[in-house]
Amino acid sequence: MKKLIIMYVAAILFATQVGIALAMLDGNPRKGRFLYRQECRPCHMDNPIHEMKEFHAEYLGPDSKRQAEWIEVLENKEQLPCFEHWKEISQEDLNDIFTYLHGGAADSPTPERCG
Amino acid sequence: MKEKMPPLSRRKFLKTSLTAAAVTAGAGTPLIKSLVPKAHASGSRPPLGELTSHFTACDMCFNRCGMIARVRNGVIEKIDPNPKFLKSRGMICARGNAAIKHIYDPDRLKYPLRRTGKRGEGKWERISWDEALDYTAEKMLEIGEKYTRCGMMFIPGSDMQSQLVHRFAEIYGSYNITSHETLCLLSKNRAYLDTIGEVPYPDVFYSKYIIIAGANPFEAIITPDTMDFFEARKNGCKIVVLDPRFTKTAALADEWYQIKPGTDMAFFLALCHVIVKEELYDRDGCCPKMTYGFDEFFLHIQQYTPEWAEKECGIPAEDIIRIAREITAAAPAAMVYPGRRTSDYEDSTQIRRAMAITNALLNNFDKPGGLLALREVGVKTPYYDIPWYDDNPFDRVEAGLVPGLIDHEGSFQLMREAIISGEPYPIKGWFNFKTNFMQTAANRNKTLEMINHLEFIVNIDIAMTDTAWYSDVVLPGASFLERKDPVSALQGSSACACAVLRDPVVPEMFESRSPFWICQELSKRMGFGDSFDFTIDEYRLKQIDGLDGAMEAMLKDGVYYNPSQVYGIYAGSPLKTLSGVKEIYNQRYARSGVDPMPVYRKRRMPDKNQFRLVVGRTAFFTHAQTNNELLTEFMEENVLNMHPDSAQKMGLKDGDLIEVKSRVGSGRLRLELTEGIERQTVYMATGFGALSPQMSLVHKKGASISEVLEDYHDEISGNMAMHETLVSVRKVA
Repeated sequence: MKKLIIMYVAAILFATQVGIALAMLDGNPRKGRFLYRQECRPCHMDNPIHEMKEFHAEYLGPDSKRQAEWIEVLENKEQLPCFEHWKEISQEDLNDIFTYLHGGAADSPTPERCG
Repeated sequence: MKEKMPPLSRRKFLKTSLTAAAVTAGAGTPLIKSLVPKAHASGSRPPLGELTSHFTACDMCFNRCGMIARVRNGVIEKIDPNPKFLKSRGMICARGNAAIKHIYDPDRLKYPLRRTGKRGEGKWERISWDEALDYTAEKMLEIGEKYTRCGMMFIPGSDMQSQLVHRFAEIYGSYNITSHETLCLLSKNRAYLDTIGEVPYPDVFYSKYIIIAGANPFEAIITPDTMDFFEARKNGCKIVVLDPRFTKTAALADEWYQIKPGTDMAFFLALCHVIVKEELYDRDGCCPKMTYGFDEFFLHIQQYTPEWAEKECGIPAEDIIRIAREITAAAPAAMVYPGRRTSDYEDSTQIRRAMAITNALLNNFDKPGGLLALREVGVKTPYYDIPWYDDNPFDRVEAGLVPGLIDHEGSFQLMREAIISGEPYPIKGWFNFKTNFMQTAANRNKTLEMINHLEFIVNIDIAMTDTAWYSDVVLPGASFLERKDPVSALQGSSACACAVLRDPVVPEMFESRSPFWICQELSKRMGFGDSFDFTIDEYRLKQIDGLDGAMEAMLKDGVYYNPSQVYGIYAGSPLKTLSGVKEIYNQRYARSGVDPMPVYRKRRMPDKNQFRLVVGRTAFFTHAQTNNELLTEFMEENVLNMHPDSAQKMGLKDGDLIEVKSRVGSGRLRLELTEGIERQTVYMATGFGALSPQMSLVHKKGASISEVLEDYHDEISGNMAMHETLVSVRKVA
């Protein structure tokens, strides 16, 4: 019985988390594309242009991950090395960015490589 | 400083040629001989200049085959294939050879023009480049101000500079960008994306069994597939063709079935029925574990028996059963050929889904002789910033009108409807590069209606196409042989993953300019010049950054090959579908209210006085690029193909001038009778019946498909559907 309750609670927590994540994906993907280029691409492009070299990271575009992986990133964003930078981005802008990334994921109907 | 050649009109060319011929011929006669200086009379000529050779990539169609242009005294004398270019197996076709008449076409646009009369009236004034660019920039800014930046529609063309025009459109701030491909292959792309997660390349060369349905690769050339079909056959590959016409492809196939037009899905569902019922699929490597929805498909497919399919498509049930057994015996080195243009029916995505599912059952993806995954070429798209305008609408104008719109392509047909209706928001400007929707898009009258709703149209092309003819500003583009172009990445099946570039073979003629230069100049005038402040050389270096030896190879051999992996790219990794495996049952379709598995529906068939109009192209023309002096020698005008039995019933004879009429328009052309066409089907080739008098070789020659075809679209992708039109035919004179 105790095991069932734990599973039930875990299931609710999981569903809530995913629900929150999915609710986050109702932004404006067009604006998200613009914001992603502004905020993320300087470090995550093929040839990073960020003035501080320690910020240079690997290429990351919508098609770098599957939709489920983008939801996972969103749910665990606090663990990302660049989370400090994220704090400066508004919730609305973050929603737009993730809507764009999720919408163009590798397993989305229209995968998008960010050039 | 660029070398400029003087304009050469057809009249002047003929006059000069005839005079020269007369003098040459007359030089042998005593009277004339006495009048000609001795040196000339003895036949001495000015010394020939040195013959130089230049690598380039063809632009007479989309294949980009490697070429070598031979130049003497600043003039291209001949074009040869680049023997090191594996994608075309070291060959070029008639169109590539005729590129000389593409660049030296007397009909070429020579300087910028601005319309002075009504659209289509043909009244123009010559203006300077500065005037043309200032005026265009002013109009584009005005439209952006009045209707938002999304008030401009952009068509960047299918060219090696199209990526720069696309960049220009995005930096201007519009997301209403669409393409010729929305009249062509989007439904096929949609079907394969939704089944295996990407658009595959057929490995024809190593295949042992191929079914070609509706495609005609021996005429509508695709490199290397067209050449590889011949080699594959020599190596024992069996080719089965389904087509209502006895095409060149059908002529060279092992088996040809004159399928009733529009019933291909019935054949493939029945083929799947046999494969599933007889368990001919690969039970270990394929089904059910490497597919999604196999059990649902098993039940779904029960109704589609070969006997049922025979009644629908006319192909005997016993042949369907035999073909199912033969192709599965050859699998995985076997395939249903995906083809290219699939803009035929309102359910064209579902027809191609049926083909893609057959391929899934053959378990041929990512395997020799099957369908290949996208290989790595390594050419990058240089980064650029895009602006954000808060007043821009939420999405592109035709968003949401079909469930499977491919976002970066859109749908010209649906965009045209939106422009006419003004809903959900107005589009009032059109920036067009080298795309001729007036000649290629179904229902020309509707394109004209759309044009009437536009306040400004600017067109870059090398000739006064029908679309240019209805524009406000016409800018003379440089031909591909005069331009420095970015690097272009190509995949040629298992033959190669390669990159090519173009440097000018000869200088820009007349006042023609490259689209890149035009975009640069317009950007400066519109306040975003920084975004285009680079040279093509700088751009190329960013494209091939990290590709060691790529530039050297392209300069030395005309092509760079990336020795990337060909087969087994996924090697156990999940596919790019939602389930990670082949989606026989598409989950997203089910959620969107679309049939998750293809469902056969009877389509509207012609009554006894009607015909279904099907369209296509020949091996020597690409759509509207028919205005070529060398190529029109093969075919001066298009004709309407009809079966002799059908013609006899109507009292029509071979060569009669006929009118072919649909609900939206009609065209007049000659009748050509052939037994190689289904009795209730008629066929005509694209590219004729031009409205523009400056397409002098095809102006009023034959009829344009665009004036007869009715406008239907694929209900999933929004791709144009060009074989739904039923027509009547009558004798004119």
